[in-house]
Amino acid sequence: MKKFLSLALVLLLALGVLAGCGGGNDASGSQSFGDASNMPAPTGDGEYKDTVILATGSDQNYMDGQMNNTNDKVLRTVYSSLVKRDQNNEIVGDLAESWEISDDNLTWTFYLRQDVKFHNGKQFTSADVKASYDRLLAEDSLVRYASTMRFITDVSVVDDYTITMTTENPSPVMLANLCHRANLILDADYIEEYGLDLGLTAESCNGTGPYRLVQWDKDEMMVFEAFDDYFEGKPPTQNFIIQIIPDTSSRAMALETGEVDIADGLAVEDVLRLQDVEGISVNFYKYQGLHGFQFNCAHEYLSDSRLRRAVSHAINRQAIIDALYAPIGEYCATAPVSEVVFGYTDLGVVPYDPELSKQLMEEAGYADGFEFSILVYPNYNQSLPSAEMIVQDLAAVGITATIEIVDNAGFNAMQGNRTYPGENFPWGMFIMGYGPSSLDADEGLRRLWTTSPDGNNNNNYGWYSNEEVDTLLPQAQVEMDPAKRIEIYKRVMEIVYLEDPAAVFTNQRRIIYCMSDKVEGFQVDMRNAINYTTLACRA
Amino acid sequence: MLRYTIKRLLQLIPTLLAVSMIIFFSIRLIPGDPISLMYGLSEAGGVDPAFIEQMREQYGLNDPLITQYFRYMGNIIFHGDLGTSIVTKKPIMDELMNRYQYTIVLALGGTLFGSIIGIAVGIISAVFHNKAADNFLMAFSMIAVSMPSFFLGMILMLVFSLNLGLLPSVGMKGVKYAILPVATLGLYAVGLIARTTRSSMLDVVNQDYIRTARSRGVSKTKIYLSHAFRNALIPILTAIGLRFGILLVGSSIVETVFTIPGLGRFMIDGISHRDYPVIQSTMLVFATTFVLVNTLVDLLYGFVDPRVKYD
Repeated sequence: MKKFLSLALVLLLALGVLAGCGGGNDASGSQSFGDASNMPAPTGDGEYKDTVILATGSDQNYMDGQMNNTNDKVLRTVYSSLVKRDQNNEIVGDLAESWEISDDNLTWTFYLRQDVKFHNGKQFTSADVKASYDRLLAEDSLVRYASTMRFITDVSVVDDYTITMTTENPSPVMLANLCHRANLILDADYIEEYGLDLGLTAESCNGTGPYRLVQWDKDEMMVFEAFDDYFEGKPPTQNFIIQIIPDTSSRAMALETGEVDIADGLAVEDVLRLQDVEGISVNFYKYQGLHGFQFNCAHEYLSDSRLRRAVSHAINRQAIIDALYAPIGEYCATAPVSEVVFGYTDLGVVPYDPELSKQLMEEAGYADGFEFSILVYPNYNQSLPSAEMIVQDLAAVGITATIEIVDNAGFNAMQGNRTYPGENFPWGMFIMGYGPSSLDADEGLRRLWTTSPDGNNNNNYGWYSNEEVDTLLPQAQVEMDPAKRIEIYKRVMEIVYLEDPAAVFTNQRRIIYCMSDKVEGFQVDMRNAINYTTLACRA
Repeated sequence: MLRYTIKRLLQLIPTLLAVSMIIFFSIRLIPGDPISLMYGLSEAGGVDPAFIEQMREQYGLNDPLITQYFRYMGNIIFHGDLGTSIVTKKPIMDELMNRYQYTIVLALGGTLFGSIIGIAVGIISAVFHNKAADNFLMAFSMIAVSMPSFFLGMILMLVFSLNLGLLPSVGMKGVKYAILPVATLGLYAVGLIARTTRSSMLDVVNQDYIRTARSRGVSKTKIYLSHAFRNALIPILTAIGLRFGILLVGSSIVETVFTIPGLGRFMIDGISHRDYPVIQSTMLVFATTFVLVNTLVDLLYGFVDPRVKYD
């Protein structure tokens, strides 16, 4: 009996010890948050794996850049655009070999490559560009980001490999906005054949990019195969797989066991742990995105700009960042757009000043405080703890805030159901992410904060409206002098960020990829778009 | 026996009808709408209402709920058609056929694993009643039953995949892949089955006929395994049947932790997309499997105990 007991105990202890010693962890290891450089393309010497697997937490809603509202990460496997960002984030030709602009700055002519084939073997021509833009700019377009391109008034085919785009006014943002994922070029025949179902299944995807999508099991995995006829040359890895592993701990472990080569979207504690694991590198990159809590400007109390400022100054952003985001190298936002976006000016962290908050509340006639609720959904990293810290800060100045948590579908429904002014939307603040895929403040500011003609402020979801902002942003849109544009954006940001705040911008986000140190040629731009033409992994 | 079987199978019909109704109407109470989720928030900050209407019309979501329900059930009963996923546009039947195998392997494997270990633990505990081994094993079964499966799964993964490198942790591409998820589910079942076996065995071993057998010199092993166990089996079978149902639904967590493309994950993904046809169909399949297995357990009573009469 004693023997049996001892054996059982030893077994249990052994399990505990084994569970405790995680693959060569060294708790005292150093942590570095510096921005990683993009890796050079693989040399090709030695042996490489024929399949690279990237694990991520959720699937794409559409494999069609126009309808995709997920992210920039995956689309460029299959698709290309007229121009693109290279690994240094410079704008270079993609499907367009060269381009020129007329003397009056109103007509852009793009000369297309003549050696481009779609995955089904069809020759790419200007007709595909025309069909893609006709669909994007149609009046009844369902494309969420169509407003970033609405300044284009005409797209015309000159010949099979030349196309012109005409704008009403000079457009300094043309090239930057052409890099937005909504501008990825689709096959004209597929647009016709699949309509809104284009990009919902593997069969309905036909692009000119480095990989063909050969299998898509929704919410499970995407399997890509290198496209032999890719115009920049076949990519170095034959197969590329995106494996959806929803649980972050399982994802981290799959990387450690070598079942996947790259993992993203890991929880803070896993990122920290993996930094010290041998054979794994954790890379941080600059990102276009911010997180914040946006104001519902149609709210009973928060429609008053003074009360929004009171809330804004009552929140100790630095404390939130130090507690929740500093461990992964993220820091306080210093403007309403990310530091990597054109038009950014450092306005500093919004001062934490509870006394000023109280004074503003008194001015507004609410010296005794007021109440509102904060809508949070947990897909945002650390969103709930951030909201909890905000609630505590607000309580200190007499504002009572409560938190309501919903899932993605619930959040979407609440956004979709709202009608101006603020009906069906009782929340005072709601969590939001801000990141222009064009890397330009035109999208980052104009698309969000201008008042739409019907007064129902298009994309800012919070009914923000400010006359001066409405006057300035259209001026910036047609200002060809970059220095003057930056000046205009600076003024707009002062208003949106400080004087008449639209949101409490919290953290400047980073792109974080954890990967096997055998991975080579991993390049990602500031939109989190991976360059699939250089990605490889040593055997 | 045949009559009883037919009667039990007929009873399935009202049960499943009630289940289908509850599922159908309750999922529509959750906020969120598959169409606006699918097409996102368009340029106008909310999808064009006319378009939403058109899509809702296309998927029949504008009809009164009761009409939708009867259409859904009609398609199942008369055409065997479970509908099409709003998100993937694929027939749900195809998806279910692909995914059911994984879930059933997990649930059956887990039940088998749990039953073998649970019964063994239960018998040993009963034999060594109130001794150290009994206390130890009951403590073990208490830990097993109270440990959440996502946590247990992680621990097993950490030990057997990461530290020992023996087993894979992602996917389901063969027997090797099934071991950890089956063990995770099975260990959860061990607790209840072991406790039920123990108490059922203790009830039996205190009966007079066992004492008589002992006094006649029959060996202890033979008494426990041959006489007592057989008589103790009915409550154990009931416990196993019920546990199977819990494992079936619990598979969704294990499938998420081990990234297995089973029915449970399909259901969870369906819920997050508010893909009504997917949620309805997966839940219905879960319910049907559960009811069928419990009917099977009821029928097994007769084989285990000839005194059980079916009429």
